[in-house]
Formats: sequence, C-alpha cells, structure tokens
Amino acid sequence: MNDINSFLSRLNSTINFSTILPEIILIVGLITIVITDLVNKGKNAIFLYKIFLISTLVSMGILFYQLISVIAFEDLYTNNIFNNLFRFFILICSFISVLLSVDYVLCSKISLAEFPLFKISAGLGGMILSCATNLITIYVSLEFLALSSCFLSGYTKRDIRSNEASMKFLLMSGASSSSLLYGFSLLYGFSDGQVQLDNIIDKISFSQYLPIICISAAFILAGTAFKLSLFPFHQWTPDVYEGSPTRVVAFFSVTSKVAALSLFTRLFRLIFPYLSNEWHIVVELLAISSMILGNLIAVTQRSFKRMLAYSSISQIGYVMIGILAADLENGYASMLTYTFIYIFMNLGTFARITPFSLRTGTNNIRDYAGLYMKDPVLTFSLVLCLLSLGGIPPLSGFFGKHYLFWHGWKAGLYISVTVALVTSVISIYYYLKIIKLMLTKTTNLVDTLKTYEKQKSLVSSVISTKLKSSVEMAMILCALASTLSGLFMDPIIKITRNTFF
Amino acid sequence: MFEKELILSTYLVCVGFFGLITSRNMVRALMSLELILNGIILNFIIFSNFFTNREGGEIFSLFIITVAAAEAATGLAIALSIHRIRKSTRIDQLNLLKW
Repeated sequence: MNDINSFLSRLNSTINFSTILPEIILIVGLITIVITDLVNKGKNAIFLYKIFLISTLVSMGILFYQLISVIAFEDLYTNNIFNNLFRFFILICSFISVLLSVDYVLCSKISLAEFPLFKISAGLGGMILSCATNLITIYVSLEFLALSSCFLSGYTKRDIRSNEASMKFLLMSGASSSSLLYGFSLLYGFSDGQVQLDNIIDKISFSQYLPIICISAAFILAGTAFKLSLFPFHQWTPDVYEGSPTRVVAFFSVTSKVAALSLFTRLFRLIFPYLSNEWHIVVELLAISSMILGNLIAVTQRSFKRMLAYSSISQIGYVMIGILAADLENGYASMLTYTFIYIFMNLGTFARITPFSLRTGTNNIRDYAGLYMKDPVLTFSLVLCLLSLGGIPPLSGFFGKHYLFWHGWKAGLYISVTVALVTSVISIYYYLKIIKLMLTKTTNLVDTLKTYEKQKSLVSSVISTKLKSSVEMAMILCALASTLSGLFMDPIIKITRNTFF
Repeated sequence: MFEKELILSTYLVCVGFFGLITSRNMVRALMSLELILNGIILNFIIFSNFFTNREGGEIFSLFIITVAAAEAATGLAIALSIHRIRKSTRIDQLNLLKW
C-alpha cells in the first residue's frame, strides 16, 4: 500500500495530466461506447453517436481553455499554438464527419458500434500525432491513425470494392511507414542514441554525417508524402476514395491529411534546417507535379468521388507552397488558414454527396443532371462549396488561395505560384462542369433522378426528422463556413501568425 | 565500424520490399511487410548496442514489434473478408478500381 501511494504521488508530480485532458476525454468516450454497446446488445445506436458528439464537444471546450495557457508535458508533448491548432482542427473534422454518418449506419444492416469506435480512435491518433515530439510517439500514433483508417475504409464488408480499397491502403501504408521508420533508425543511430527530436538536433553533427542525413531525409520524405498524397506517392488516393464508403472518405480525407501536415512541418522544420535548400527544391518539385497531375486528371473523371480525390491531391500541392513560404514574421499562417478553410470546403462537398448517393445509389457525375428541380437546397449548398474549392471570390476559398499565393510570391517561389495559378484556372473547369450540369433544366431526367425522394421512406418518421436535421445541420454549417470565413479571415490570420519554431 | 550488421539489416529490408511488390498472394505480401519491419528492428538494435544508454532503441523496438503485430492482424482480417467473397486471396485479380 505504501508503495502504491508513493508511486502515485511521484506520478502526479512528474506528469501534468491537464495537458492531455482532451485526449483523455476522448478515451473515456471510446470506453463508454464499447461498454454501452455491450450492455444494449446492438439496440439504440443513436445514443452511441450522441456520446461521441458530446465527448468531442467537451474536448474542444477544454482545448479552447488550454489555448490560453501553455504547459509543457516533459518529453512527449509540447503545448504551443501550432500543436493546439492542429488538435483543434482534427476535433472539428471528427465532429462534422460524425454528423454526416448517422443516417448511413441506420439504413445499412452492418454492425453499428464499431463505426464511432474507429472514428474516435482515428481522431485520437491524429491528435496525438499533432503534438508528438518523440520519435516513438510519432511512429505509434501514425500507425494508430493508419490502422483505424484502414478498418474504416473496409467497413462495408460485403462490397468487394471496399475490401480492395482497404487492402491497397494497408499494404501501401505499411510500406511507407516502414520507410519512415528506416529514416528514423538512421537518425537515432547517428545522433548518439537520442529519441527526442530536440535532442537529436543537438547531438547530430551535420558536417560529418551529411550523406547519411540526406539519405534519412529521403526516406522520411517518402514516408510522410504518402500520407499527404503528393505526386509520386499519390496512387492510393483515387482507388481508396472510390472504394470506401463515402462517410469514411469524408472523415479520413481531412483528418489524415491535417495530421500528416503537422507531422511533415515539424519533422522538416526541426530536423533538417541545414538542408533547407535541398529539401525546399524537392518539395517544390513534388508540389508542382501534384498540382499539375491532380488537376489534369480530375478533368477526365466520371465518378464524383474519384474527381474529389484528384482535386484533394492538387489542394495539398497548394498547401505545400504555404509550408515552403514560412518566415519569421508570419509563421505558418498561410498554411494554417488554408487548411482551416479546406476542411470546411471538403467536408461540405462530401456532406452533399452522401445523402445524394444514399437516395439514388450512384456516384457518377452525369447522374447529377437537373438536380436543381428536385432538391434546390442540396444544389445550392453544393454550388457554394464547389465554387469555394475552385477559388471564386467572394467565397473563402478565394481568400485562402490569395493569401497563400501572395506569401509564396513574397518568399520567392515564382515558378510554384505561377503553376498554381494556371492549375487553379484549370480546376475551375471541372467544378463548373458539375454546377452547369446540376442547374440546367433537362427535359428527360436521368432514370435515377426520377425516383428521387427528399424523405427516405426506409426509417420511421421520428428518426427521419432527427437524421434529416443532423446531416442538414452539417451541410449548412459547412456552407456558411466556406462562404463567410473569407470575409472574417483577419482574426484567423492573427491567431495563426506566431507559429514559427 | 559495424558495417556488416547494417548491410545485413538493409538486405532484409530490400528482400522484404521485393516480396511486397511482386507477390500475388495477400498472405505473402503480409509476410514481406513483417520482414521489412524486422529488418528495421535489427537496425535499431545494432545502433543501440553502440551506446551506453541503451534504452531508446530497445524500447522503440518493442513498440515496433507490437505495431507490426497489430498490422498483421489487420491485414489478415482484410484477407479473410476478401476470401469470403471471392474464394481466393490473389491480389493481382482485384482490379475493379482503376484510372
């Protein structure tokens, strides 16, 4: 008994639990979901989703409170504005994507409890990855995020395309995180046995071991560029996005990209400052090719989800310009602002595809023809989000891109910004193609749209009002955020300014 | 200094990558993935042997072994669900999602 008391008192003095309180609340929510599902034996699934939403909201509240104070958690975490902002972004992503997915699991006859379980664990992995400053924590949380996303993408077991998508995702993510790990092992070895990122920089001697550090930088770049789906490592993105269920794609298209952005920025900024010239050139090349390839191939796509996959590849190309253009007075403000706006634009677009594919069972772009006549709310909110993705003023996508490209031009990345501008114009084509298709009146509607009903007749009326309101709430939230965030961008920029480290 | 050991671990990683790329069977691809991770664990152990404070590399190796086990479990679950639908685990025949 005395040993336990002394151990607990030592634990309390060395670890400051208030720093990881948001993650602890998510873990408590996770355990509650598992226990509730076991007790209820599969009934009353909406309650599980309410638990998830409440725990996410409570975590967000505590994170707001912590943004004011800065506490360091010894070796594993550091609380600065950069990390906290990324944790907040991931909580927003989880919250909105759960709002989207409530109706799906009621209409399909698949087990219901694992879905919020894997979403919470993936969100948790992303949050821990945003704060990790230890090589071990980085690797374990990255794999946590990847394996949870893999289970999520293979969720509809009976659909062969979902199985194929998750198989491709697992094999490729395993290969790329082992490449990242090989880079870590070289860094560990040549920095005299240090696992902490700060200590690695202190102990490694760049002048003596420069070839080895370049090799390890190349491996680490390969590992992180996979998660970000930059150019040569982008092949998994369209297949996985097309095969997985749409709610899952909405979730991990934003969450894993945001978490991977924080990882990429931290690793390359902290560890390889002496190699700035080299890795700047390589990342610039990767960004330019992602922008060109993503936009050109998206023009030819016939499936909506695949087109969104290629467009998200090009959006990450734009964000890379923001990472390269970081300097002392502005920090990573351009990248963080664009990421914030990108979350809402992307989730808004997926929030409109999911009810459409649920009601008509198709994802082809041609089947969206004449949607204006059947469901004007969906059409107009989809128009707003697509225009924001394309970068049309006065929507927020324009302001985000404008800030990003201006910073890039100031930092001297002339080629990248020129390519980005040209490919932005190309991207407007395929967004406007969909909008034109939806808004024009066609005399003979596509067969799928003839049977389109606003209310689903599969569930009872009580549940249908609640479901209708949750997805529509998500749609309206995202539409408002993607239109108005651009006009109110100044406070966002002010918050994200002092994030240089 | 210890080049031979590092060459051994790099060789294991390369054999694993080759097996991952050219395998037609899902279970064989998973075995190659395990081989890659084992090569990297060996790399960590070799480096940690050199330092007086050995904790970093050895603890990291334990974590990698755990994560590799979790990944293998995930992969086998996916292989099982593919097998239930298609009655085979050949992954080069899964070509529904292209271009």
